Amino acid sequence: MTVRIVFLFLILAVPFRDAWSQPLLADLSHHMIAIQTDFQGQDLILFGTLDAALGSEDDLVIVVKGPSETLDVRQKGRQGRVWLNEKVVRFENIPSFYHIYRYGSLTSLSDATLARQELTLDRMKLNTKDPQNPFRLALVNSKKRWGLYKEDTTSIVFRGPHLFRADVDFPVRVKTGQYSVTVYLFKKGEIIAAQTTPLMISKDGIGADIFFFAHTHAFWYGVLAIVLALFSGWMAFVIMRKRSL
Amino acid sequence: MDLYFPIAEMSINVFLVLGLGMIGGIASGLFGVGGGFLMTPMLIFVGVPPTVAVATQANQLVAASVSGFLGHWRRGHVDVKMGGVLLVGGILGSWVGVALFSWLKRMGHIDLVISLCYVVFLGSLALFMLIESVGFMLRTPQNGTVSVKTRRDFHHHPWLLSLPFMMRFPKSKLYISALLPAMIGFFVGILVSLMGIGGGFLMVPAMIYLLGMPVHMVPGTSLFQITFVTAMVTLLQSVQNQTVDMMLAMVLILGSVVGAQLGIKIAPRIRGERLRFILALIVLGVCGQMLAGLLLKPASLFAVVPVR
Repeated sequence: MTVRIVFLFLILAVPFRDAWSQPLLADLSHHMIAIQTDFQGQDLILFGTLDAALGSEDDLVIVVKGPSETLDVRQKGRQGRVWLNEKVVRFENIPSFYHIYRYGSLTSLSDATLARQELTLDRMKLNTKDPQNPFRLALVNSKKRWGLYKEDTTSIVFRGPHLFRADVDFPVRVKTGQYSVTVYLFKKGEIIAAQTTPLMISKDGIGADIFFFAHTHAFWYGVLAIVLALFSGWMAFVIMRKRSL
Repeated sequence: MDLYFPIAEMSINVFLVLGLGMIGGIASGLFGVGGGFLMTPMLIFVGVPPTVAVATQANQLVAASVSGFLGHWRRGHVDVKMGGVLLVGGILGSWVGVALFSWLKRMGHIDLVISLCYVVFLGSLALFMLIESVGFMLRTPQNGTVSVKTRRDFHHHPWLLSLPFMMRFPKSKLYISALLPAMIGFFVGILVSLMGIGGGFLMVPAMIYLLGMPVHMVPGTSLFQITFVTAMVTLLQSVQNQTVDMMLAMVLILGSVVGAQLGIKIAPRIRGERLRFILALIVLGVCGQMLAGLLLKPASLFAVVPVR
């Protein structure tokens, strides 16, 4: 009797297995970063579970992508005696922020997969595909120096075989806007699951008010800036005169 | 303690910004110049985007020049008529300068032109001032008086007297062509929009040596003109580029007010030619750095710049 019930249960459960046991579940500690006047950059924690422990040929990759921007990379060259800007290469609509956190060697992934999901900095789609292009190299290195581009193999930490966490760090130079955090799970080179979580970075408090005012009422912002400067200049004069009397 | 500045979009240590303002303030209190030629390069060096640095500096200069102007006004040391003529030229000049700026930016040589302006104009002026002040220090004994005659003679070229639009400037006791101050204002206005400085540094010697104005009238009159020109640049930058960082400007102003007090206290204890000597050395230092940037192989051949 008991055996029959268990058997029935198993038969019924099989089609629903995926529903209550997802291969990957992840979330962020916060979905919003407010840049206030004391902003120094911020760390977020990404945590998640896997339904099966990672094997040696499996990989877990987290890609954090920021809003896009357009940058010029200028190259200086010598003309006669002076160093001038000789060449400019424009990188249009590239991610302002790109962090890759991985657990696993990525060796079982095909080049096509790596390129399609842009899972290494070298495979990012930035104008030219050649990672050794000097302009591209200069761009990526600058971004790395500012903490905006990163490839990291140590941040993802497992607590037991199923539970993992990762520290995602946003440096002080982050751009405001919509970010996306995507977690990929690969088994033997095949993508098993992917999950994207949105993240918003925006200005807050007085800084946000100033920025908003400057962009919505540019003329009155300018007038206010002048009036404030005139007033503080006048104050300085009054204080100075009182002192000298 | 770091503060996040909303338009510059970066965190900077408040005391660093206050310190920069103070250095500019000391310079203005000591030498009667706005200090923009020191503060703009320093802001850029700290990492503030150049467009934001130039525009915010204009806002700071409004405060610095108006407080200086009021001080001179109280003593009656402002020639409003002369200032007005300078201002007309200055406004025309800054318009031309802004147009020139965007044209050069399109051609991709704005950095070179800014550096060259610093080196050529500020450099040659500083060199002239250095030679003159050293000459004074060698020639005059400790309590020797300096004759004003040399300055007066300088502008008495016959062609200057033959220009049209002769105008009387009673406060400065001058009868000269209005074209002369207007041209100076125009020329300085162009350089102001190219270099992101107040221009007092260039205008003061021009007013003394070219116009032959009485020395005590010069700083107040030049500050009068600079207040208006910098206010106009602040408004133009706010409307066109949204690059004026009010918060950054206020912290700079706070620092420069304290600095100006210090400068004014120190100034009477140092003799005029020594002051000019020190100022000349500082400016030559700034120019030297600019020149080195042009002539030496840069540490990195590549620069990454945001496109607005």
